[in-house]
Amino acid sequence: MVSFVIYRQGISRRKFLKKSSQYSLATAVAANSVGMLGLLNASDVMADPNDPNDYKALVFIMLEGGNDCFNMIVPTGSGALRTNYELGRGVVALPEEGLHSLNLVSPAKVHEGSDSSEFAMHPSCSAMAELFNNQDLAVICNAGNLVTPISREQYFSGVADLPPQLYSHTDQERQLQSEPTNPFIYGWGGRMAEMLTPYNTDNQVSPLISISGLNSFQVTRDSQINTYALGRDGVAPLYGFYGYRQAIVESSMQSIDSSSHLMAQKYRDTFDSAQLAETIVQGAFQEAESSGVDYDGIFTAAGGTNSVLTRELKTLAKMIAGRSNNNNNRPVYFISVGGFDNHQKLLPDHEALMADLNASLKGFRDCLDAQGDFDKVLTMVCSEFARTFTPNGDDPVESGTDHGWGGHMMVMGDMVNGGRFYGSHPNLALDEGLDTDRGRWIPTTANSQCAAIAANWMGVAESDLSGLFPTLDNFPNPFDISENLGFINGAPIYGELS
Amino acid sequence: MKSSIAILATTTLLIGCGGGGGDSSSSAPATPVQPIVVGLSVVTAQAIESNNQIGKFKIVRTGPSNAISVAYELSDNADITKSTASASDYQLTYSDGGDVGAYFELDANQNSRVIEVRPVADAINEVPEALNISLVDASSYNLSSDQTGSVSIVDAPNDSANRRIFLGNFTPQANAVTDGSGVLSFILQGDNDLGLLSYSFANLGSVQTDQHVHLAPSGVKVKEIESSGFLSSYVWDLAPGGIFVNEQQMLDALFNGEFFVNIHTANYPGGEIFATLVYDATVDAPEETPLTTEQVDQDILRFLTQSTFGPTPNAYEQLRGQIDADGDNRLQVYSDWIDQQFDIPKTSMLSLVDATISAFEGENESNIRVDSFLPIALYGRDQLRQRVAFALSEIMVVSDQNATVNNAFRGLSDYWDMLADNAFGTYRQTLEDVTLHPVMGIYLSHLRNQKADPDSGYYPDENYAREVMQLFTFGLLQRQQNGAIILAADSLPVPTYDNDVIKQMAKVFTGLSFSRVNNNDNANVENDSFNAGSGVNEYQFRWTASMKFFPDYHDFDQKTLFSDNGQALIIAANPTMDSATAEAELGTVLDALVSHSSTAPFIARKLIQRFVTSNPSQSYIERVANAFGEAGDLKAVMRAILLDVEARNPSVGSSTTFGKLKEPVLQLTAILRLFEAASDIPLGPSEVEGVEGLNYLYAEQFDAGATLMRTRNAQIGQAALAAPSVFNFFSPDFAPTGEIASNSLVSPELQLVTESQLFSTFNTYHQIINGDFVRYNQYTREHPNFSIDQLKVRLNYSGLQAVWNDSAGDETAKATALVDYLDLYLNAGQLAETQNTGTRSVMISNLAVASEEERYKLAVYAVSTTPEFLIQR
Repeated sequence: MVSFVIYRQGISRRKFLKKSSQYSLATAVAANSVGMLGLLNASDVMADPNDPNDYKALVFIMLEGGNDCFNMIVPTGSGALRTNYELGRGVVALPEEGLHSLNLVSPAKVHEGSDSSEFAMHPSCSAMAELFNNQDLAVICNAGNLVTPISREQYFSGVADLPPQLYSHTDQERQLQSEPTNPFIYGWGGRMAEMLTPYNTDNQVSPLISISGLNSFQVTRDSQINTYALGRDGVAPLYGFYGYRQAIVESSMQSIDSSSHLMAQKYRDTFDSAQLAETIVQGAFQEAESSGVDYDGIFTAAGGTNSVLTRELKTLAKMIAGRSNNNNNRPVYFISVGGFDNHQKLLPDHEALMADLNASLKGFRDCLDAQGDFDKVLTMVCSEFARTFTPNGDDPVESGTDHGWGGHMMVMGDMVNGGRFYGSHPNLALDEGLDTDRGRWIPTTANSQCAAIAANWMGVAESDLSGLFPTLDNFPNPFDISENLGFINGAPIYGELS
Repeated sequence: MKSSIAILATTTLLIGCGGGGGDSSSSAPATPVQPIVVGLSVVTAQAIESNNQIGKFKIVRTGPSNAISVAYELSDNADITKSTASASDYQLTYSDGGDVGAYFELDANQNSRVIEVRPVADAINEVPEALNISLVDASSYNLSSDQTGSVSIVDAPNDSANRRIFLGNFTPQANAVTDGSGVLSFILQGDNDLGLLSYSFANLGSVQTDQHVHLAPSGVKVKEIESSGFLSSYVWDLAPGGIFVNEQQMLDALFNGEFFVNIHTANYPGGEIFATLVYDATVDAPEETPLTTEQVDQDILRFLTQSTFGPTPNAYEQLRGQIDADGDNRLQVYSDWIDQQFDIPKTSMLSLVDATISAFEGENESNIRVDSFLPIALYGRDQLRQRVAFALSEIMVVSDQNATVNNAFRGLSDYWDMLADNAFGTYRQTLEDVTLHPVMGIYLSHLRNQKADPDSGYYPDENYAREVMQLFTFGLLQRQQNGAIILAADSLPVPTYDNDVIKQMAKVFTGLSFSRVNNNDNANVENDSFNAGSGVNEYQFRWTASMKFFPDYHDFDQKTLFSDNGQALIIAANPTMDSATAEAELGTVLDALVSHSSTAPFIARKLIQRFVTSNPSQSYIERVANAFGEAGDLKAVMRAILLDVEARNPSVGSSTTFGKLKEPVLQLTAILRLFEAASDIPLGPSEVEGVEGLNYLYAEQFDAGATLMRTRNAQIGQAALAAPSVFNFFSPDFAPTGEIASNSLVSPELQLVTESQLFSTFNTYHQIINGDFVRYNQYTREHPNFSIDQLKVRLNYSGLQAVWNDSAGDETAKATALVDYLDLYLNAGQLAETQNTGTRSVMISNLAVASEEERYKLAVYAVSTTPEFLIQR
């Protein structure tokens, strides 16, 4: 039963505990960065938000349609997880042969099961496995949209606070990018950029840059910052735009004022933004092209084709390389790639998608590394939901899977405590535990908990996180070691006593 | 709503009578006793107190002509918000004399009789009251299918003399400290059914947040005013709100001076200023000034912009001529035009694709399918039908972004034709044809979807089950007829379904697969294998025939489906496991999907957005939803959309919110149509030496001058049948941040307006203007039968040249004429009307000095890029 929940202030509000010493430094910087929101006084100032060396970027990669992540990250060996995997997945189960093993630094927690280190990645994901094994990449297990932690019993009781419109693409996508509540007000990327305004002082190009058009993630609360939508291959100049043409277009744009149609005003704003940003973005590209980094060569070596994702990540790497052309020290990038709604032909279609993701992430990582930026860019790979664990047919080629719930998120970057599984992995047992039915797992980690940690790394103070994520207070503090979400360097890690 | 039903009933009856008359002449020997058949129709649907207009019913009988008494009963209005006439409101008499008693009496040999409804003039202000009469069956006669009728009794006709005026002054509300002030009027029409609310105000202390009509003294809100800011002739239908349950209570409160409008602001969320609506009998309604010639011109162009792929001088002159000849009754002229469009045969995409393929041997057929859209949109005579097909293709989306769909080029063309065939049919039939179309089957994966086998661990595909509810019919939330979300007792919206329903719905769509395939000899044969592959060959028989049920793969178990008005649809388990049973089950489910109370408003809003405005009022949605009815009568829906007062309001020219951004495809087609974009290759035979025409058999279904348009999709961010997903190119609820979102408005098409797309679109128009609008052959660039030069699509500037040359005066005068011409056809003359004269003057000054070579290209570039030309009001 789907119910509609509007977050009510004060429910199960928890006080955040004081963090370990590594964290208090980050907190101080972060608190200062948000100016009027900060809690610290001037003597605590640790850094200049406009220092070009203090640069951090968040890259949010959206796998649209619901990635079947349980075939991206697959249990191996002879344990219960593998048995449940083969039982549940049936004709879409991947054989162990051909998978790329993962060397976990410490075993993964398994919900209602024994810890396990026996996992591998999809046969097309050799480079991603390598990134993981090099501790450049980590997996956050069974994360999903949640209003509040719930149990299987609560789910079936019909009275649980569930995210509105569970299993619907558009709704779950919007909730992943904002909050699992109605009505939609802002995306967490957009609101975060507003909170980080002191870092982003460029008045010509927005710190919110999308290479995949307008999206919920970058919608701001106060509408002062708008998303800048960059082309897949960067920015193309206007052809034949001079003389009378330029005069007519620019003057007519200028003649749009507050008495004009609201849609004309918005159109004018977008044109203005395109013109303002054009020079800057082109400057960034020139800088990148002349940096000596061989973007095409690196992506080709990584196995990249001319896919949408490859082109977009290449463009993004260049934007980051050419950042001295603007004054935004905390940009938030958005990329989405479609095709993951594999209701049919899961095995062949997902194989192609995984190959593309694998090559694109590897190429992106290597370009950032060549630029010296891999420690400055946190990449999150998310999808609106995972898919049903059970297939919808009996033919291994034709069958697909349907809309699910909790799934695996990935984070990449030098700041990531890689080579680990965070949160807890479902035990993959059907009709019990986390299963709502057909292996639509109840998430054990809320998307907003993961997002909160990323936002905190970007500079949002811990004390401001529940302002950014109103449902966050319904959950245990994501920085608690028991939540096992210490995926940023310096955070204590569950099961790894120092 | 009620009266429109009554009118429909009348029409049907009259047709029936015509047929019956023919039969009565037959004089068969030794006939068995023929029954008397009695029917009822409405002759005059309105009785008016003020001028004593008499309403009229007619009863008619066929068969034996002995005297009979026909029983009847009166019934209350089914819509409890509306009034029912009581005995004191009228007298029933016969037109040939005498009062009507307990029965309608038909004397011997009297085959019909007119019953008059004589209104009793009282001094009471009343909303329209329905007198509903139903004939009652008896042993002495049978009833025909037309046995009910309704006459509406109203106070006065809707003319200017009978309008009544309510006035108000805005003053500070309660404890508000403000300099805010303003004035208000409400003009109630003669029948008291609705009125026009106008007001303006100034000097608010803070930004406006909302505005409502409330009831004094309690302050209960009775009416949400969706927009914010000033109102001008806003239609308020007095639909009951707040504590009221019917319209009569609303009217009484209005005359009692109990309504006030207030303006809520940031400082005063409860209201900063308010104005009470007070009846003032001394004020005369403003003269209803007839529209000026310019206003009628603008409305014609607005109408053509809403209903075609772009206005042309021919289309305009045809309507203008009829309006001139018809004494200014433009709505009747539009209505006749719509009727004509209903009758124009469909131009077939599949047939055009097949004909083009044979002329371009070796060419990728999917490309040919892509290129078939523009000739139909630009030159098809069935403009309205194709516009509806385009709109439906954005609701029941399939897309060539799916590789199999793209390769199934005949199937995809057939899908378009199927939408065009259904454009003036019912939504119910459209949904059935969509559901069974193999292209939808592959796109939303219910093709070859089989029933669950829990032992093997697989379950039916849920994709189509979900989207047919979420996107194609009633949406996620229960809605009122006016589109407003229904709130439950806990103040939360009521979802239309949950995941259990989806799982059950998935069973309905099991067992469907291709009905036809090609055999080894490439003959078109019946398919007998559920698992027939989705192969694509040049014949594509499997892709153009509706899918059929394979009973072995269909789930015949009981299914508990979605609810409407608290009643769940339950399909009982059926032991007769055959195709007919599965088909019947599907039919039942489709009936329930389309007649679901939330479907009409949900689809009505989406359709209004495609044709008229992104933000229709709730009343507009309700009127269109009423026309939609149970089965989705698309003719009635299109009439309701295009002829609605809101669509035809002549004073929206200066509105900052009404209308929509033109979607890129429609912006392109409007420009290409006005400039007669064409290649050298006619669809019909060629009359030019050395040029081969396509010699297409059905070329006469197109306007003169129709040519091949081998252009590829223009890079404007949108193309027919090419949406990125089933969620279409844009969301119907997309609200860009800033003024639009903060006014609770939406602008779906703005989702496509991004920096990168904007530049790409500008560059595409640059290319088109420069004559580089052509698809090069993939390998050779040229094609054996046609040269690239012949295939290039070019704009024809002769219309613009004529305007320039024929205008008297200097360059500025000529340029002014040019801009006014473009403004009229591409912008319904809004540039000249709005406060924004900037675009107009800058266009004139630049066109006046541009060289002749550059002038017309510059004009086209300007109209394809400047914001004022992209807004359709």
